[in-house]
Amino acid sequence: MMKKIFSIEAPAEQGNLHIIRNFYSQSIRSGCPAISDADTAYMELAVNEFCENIIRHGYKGSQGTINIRLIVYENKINTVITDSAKPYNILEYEPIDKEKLVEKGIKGRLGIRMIKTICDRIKYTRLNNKNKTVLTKNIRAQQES
Amino acid sequence: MAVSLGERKSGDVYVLLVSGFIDTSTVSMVEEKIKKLFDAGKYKLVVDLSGVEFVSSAGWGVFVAFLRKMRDKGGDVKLSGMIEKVAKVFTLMEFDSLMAAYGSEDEAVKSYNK
Repeated sequence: MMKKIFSIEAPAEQGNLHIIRNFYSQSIRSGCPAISDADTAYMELAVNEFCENIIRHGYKGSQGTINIRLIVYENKINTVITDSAKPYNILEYEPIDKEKLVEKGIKGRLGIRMIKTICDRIKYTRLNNKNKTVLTKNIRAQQES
Repeated sequence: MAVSLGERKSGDVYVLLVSGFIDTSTVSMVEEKIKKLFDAGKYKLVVDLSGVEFVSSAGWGVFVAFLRKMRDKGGDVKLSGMIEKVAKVFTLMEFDSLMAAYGSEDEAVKSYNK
């Protein structure tokens, strides 16, 4: 199966999130012209949210890096995110209910809901003191979105 | 440009003009601005996002967090001018069932008088 790979490694700092987003959306457009604009925007958001979580809750201000590998297949894209922060398995966290956001005035925990809504499949492994999470999005053609 | 903010008044409605992107690195500026408006008794708010290219959960969380506060005071938080990319996320995450959004700032401002 044909595939294209794009990768970036950046210091885990909030100020780098826009660099990661720009790299990611440009790579998707370059490697997967068939993907819809909507899915590109959704995956850019999902990756941003995941990296925000790593920076805020994983590294918590300590130094570290985030490695992102985008692997484009014919019918899906896999985004492999690797970091050396404390163990973090997103699959263990329940997304917040929408109504509670307003009722409780909660600002946080939205990111998990976004990631789980957007991605078709999420896989987590912890190996050699590293978190490796794979976010999979099936490719829908432009006109289907 | 990370984020820039402007403000204008239209009757008793206050319009917050935002440009750039809203993520964890910039959201505190937006939040502080909305809080200042709230503390000053300006409860009818329109946030114009026509110059915003990206909004993360941090940004959406701030808008939602102020919804109830503003509504409890007889006001609201309404959005206007979202570009397609941002609007698609707004719809996907079903924020459209929580808060009103309009194509233009003018429409959003006028909606307060209906």
